[in-house]
Amino acid sequence: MNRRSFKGYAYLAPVLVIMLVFTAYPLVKAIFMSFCENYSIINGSYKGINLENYKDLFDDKLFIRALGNTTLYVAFVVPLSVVISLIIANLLNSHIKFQGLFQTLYFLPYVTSVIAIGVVWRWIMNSNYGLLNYILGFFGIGPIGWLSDPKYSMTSLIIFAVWKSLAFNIMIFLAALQGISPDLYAAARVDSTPRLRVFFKITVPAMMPIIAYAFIMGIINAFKVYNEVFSLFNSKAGPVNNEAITIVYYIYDQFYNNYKYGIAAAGSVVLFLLIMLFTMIQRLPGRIKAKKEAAQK
Amino acid sequence: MKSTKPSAIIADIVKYVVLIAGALFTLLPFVWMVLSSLKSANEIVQIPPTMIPRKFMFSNYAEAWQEAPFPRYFLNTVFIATVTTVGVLLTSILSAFAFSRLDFPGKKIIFSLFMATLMIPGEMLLITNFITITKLKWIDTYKAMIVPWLANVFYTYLLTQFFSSVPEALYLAAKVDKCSDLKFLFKIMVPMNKNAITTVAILSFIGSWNSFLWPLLVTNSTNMRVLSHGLVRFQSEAGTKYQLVMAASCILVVPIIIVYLFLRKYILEGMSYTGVKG
Amino acid sequence: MEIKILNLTKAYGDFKAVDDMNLSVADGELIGLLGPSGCGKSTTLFMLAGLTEPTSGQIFFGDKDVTRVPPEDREIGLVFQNYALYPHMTVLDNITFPLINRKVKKAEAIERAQEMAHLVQLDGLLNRKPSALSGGQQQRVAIARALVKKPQVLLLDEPLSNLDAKLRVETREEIKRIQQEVKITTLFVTHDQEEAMSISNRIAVMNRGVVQQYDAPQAMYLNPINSFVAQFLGMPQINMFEAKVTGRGVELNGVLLRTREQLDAAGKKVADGTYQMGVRPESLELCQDGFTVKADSVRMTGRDLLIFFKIGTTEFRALTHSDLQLRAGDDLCLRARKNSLIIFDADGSALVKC
Repeated sequence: MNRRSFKGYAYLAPVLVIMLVFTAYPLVKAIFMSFCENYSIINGSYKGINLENYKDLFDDKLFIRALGNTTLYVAFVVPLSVVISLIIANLLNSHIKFQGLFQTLYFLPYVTSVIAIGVVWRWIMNSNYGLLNYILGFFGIGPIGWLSDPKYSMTSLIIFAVWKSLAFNIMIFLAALQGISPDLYAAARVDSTPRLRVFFKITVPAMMPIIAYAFIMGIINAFKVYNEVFSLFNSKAGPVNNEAITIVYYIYDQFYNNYKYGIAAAGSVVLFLLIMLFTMIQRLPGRIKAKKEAAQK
Repeated sequence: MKSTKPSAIIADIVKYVVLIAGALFTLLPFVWMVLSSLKSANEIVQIPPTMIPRKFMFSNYAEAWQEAPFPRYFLNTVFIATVTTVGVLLTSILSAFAFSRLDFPGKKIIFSLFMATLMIPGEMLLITNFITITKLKWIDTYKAMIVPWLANVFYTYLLTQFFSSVPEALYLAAKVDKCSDLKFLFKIMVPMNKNAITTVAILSFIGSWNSFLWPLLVTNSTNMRVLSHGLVRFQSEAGTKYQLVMAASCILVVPIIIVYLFLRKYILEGMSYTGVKG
Repeated sequence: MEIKILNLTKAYGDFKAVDDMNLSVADGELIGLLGPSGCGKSTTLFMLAGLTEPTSGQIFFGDKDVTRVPPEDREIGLVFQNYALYPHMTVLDNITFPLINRKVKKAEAIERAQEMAHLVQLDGLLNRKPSALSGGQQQRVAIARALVKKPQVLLLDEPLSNLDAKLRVETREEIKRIQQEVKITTLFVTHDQEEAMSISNRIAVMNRGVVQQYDAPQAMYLNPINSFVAQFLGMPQINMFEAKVTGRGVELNGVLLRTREQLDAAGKKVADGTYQMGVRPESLELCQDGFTVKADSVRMTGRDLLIFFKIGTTEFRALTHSDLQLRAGDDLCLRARKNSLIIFDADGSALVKC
């Protein structure tokens, strides 16, 4: 190896070493562990290499519930968040007073700790003293046991998650909106196009790539939801019996509390595959486009 | 020119109503957190709840501060976030320089592998990393909470992009001027990209400050807890002293909000890079 | 500092950017490396700077073989096409940068930088950032930064290409002045033949990695070694055409450009046949006894009048003084001035001038 290439590796070394130890190795190890029946972390022994962990995983009603809950969570949080953020971002992008102030406010949740704000939401959703039930009382609704009644656990989790995820989406939508050429809007105005038509015929098509991106990122992040559950239900996964358990919570529970490393690893491989799937879907349009362009040439 | 048609005025009103309602919804938890943290033990469980505390109980903060070792949590958090940020900046700057300016065999492959790791959910790595930390006997140390986070692919990628856009001629000119690579990196490259580097620093600091699951896994003793971990424990322990829990939440949230308000520009820039990536 | 380039080659795979180049530069000369884009002139400059490693061949600075010497140890000053100023540093910091790297004391570095700034007429701008300067001023900073370490050789890569037309003329004079004041051996790369001719002591015209001709500007303009050089130098371009050499002389569509006697008087026997020939527009002069053509169009350029006409189907341009009263459609009588018609060989090399 000559001096120049040595130098390249020297600059890369710190990152490379840490990545090998804390990313590459654990990735391989987790996949390996997921096939080891009764893996013991004390001496690394196992009973055999087989699909037992995966079988146990899918036989476990709790994991199925975690999958179901996570899917439900994704199905509500992502579309709600994208639609609301799209509206807000559009309003923020129109000529309004105090634009800077509004932006600052709307982006606030992005930087705040999920744990801290989850604790606050827990207080707001308190069935006896909570602000939410108090407000709903004016409309003759409730009181609802947001966090104590198992029926409402997923609803509460979804409200909190939508609140938390708006900021990021608003931000990237706003950036994309500001990238649309003002000429397009000027032209639409000259042609006296109605506002809604402008929104659906100019804004939305121009925003399609970023909306798709927000969807996929939202889905990927939603699959990894954990902190929200943990803080909202006070270190548990639901008021009574894991009503709001999610995949990551399940993985954590299996290895940290039940010491079932193999099953936890199998769960994490399933999570990995789900995320890979959606990442591939996200890259698909780009690939198809590139192929089409190549074919045209 | 603004239109003055009645329909346009109504549209404007609707616009502001929606915006203000949304802003209130966004702000609600923050405001309620601060207000609740200032209420007395009696007032906080009063039905119906009061909006503005009858008497501002700033003593709640002192009390929370004393009931659990929050000063210790606070220092732990500051220390870990600072060291992690400085460290990850250093490693990211070095590796971004290697990727953007140096030639070595396997560079492209290594870079592609790096980018591929962005797909791996960190949660998948938790189990093995937890085992690794245990085997290294790092449980309950600062090392455990810092070292694994000293490499970040996204920051490396971001800085590589920025470093690559610096004209090659500057690098060549510096070479002719007898400037070593390391000196070029820190005298020219880093100052030229100080905005991007500041952004990375802030994102890293906030990320570290808000981290929860990992510190929870690798610490046992009260002394090593970080704020978020401490807060969750405190919530379980303090029972119905909601006003103190809210005060503790403020301790965790307010410093980052201050950072955000002062360095908003950099954070927004950083978020837009995240968006551009897609 | 004398420079010698021996059999210098730079190959990228099968493509030879510079092919077996030989060139020597005398101490204190100003040399222009001229050629179209992709001809290998910048590659040559970067090999001289040590930033590009040659595939084979040698470079000597004086008696020293510097072929494998890294750039920082070559004692060269290099000015980049886009100047490569460090944008976050002031002019002063930019100029002192090479000195500080060489462990020169700060006070001395500043003093030398001020001297340099004075030489390139940048006094009073030392505390500005490069972005607050005009293109011409940035160029001067780059030159000052290159010269401040008192290099033995100054290399400039397309030094004028980023400037507007007026500034370009000013700046090239400025470069010449500075070069003469410092008496430094200088090579500069350009694709602009006028630029190269106006300030160089000698020009090396390159094409496809090969030096076509290396000579003083005037000699090269008057006696191009081949059709490429003939066409590359001169604006408007030389008229190139195919004509026959017969027993009568040089004939083009019935027009006799040279008699056989005139042709033979040039000293070289040219066999009968068809040849590529060239005559510069300014070598076509008005006369009484030449050939008569009809002006297709007339362009006024200020100092000159450019006349377009055809002999048969071959298009020509002639340059005359601007006080000539002539309109499109008018007839005029022309001849090719003595010793101005260049006849080229089948491979393009100049055969004879008559």
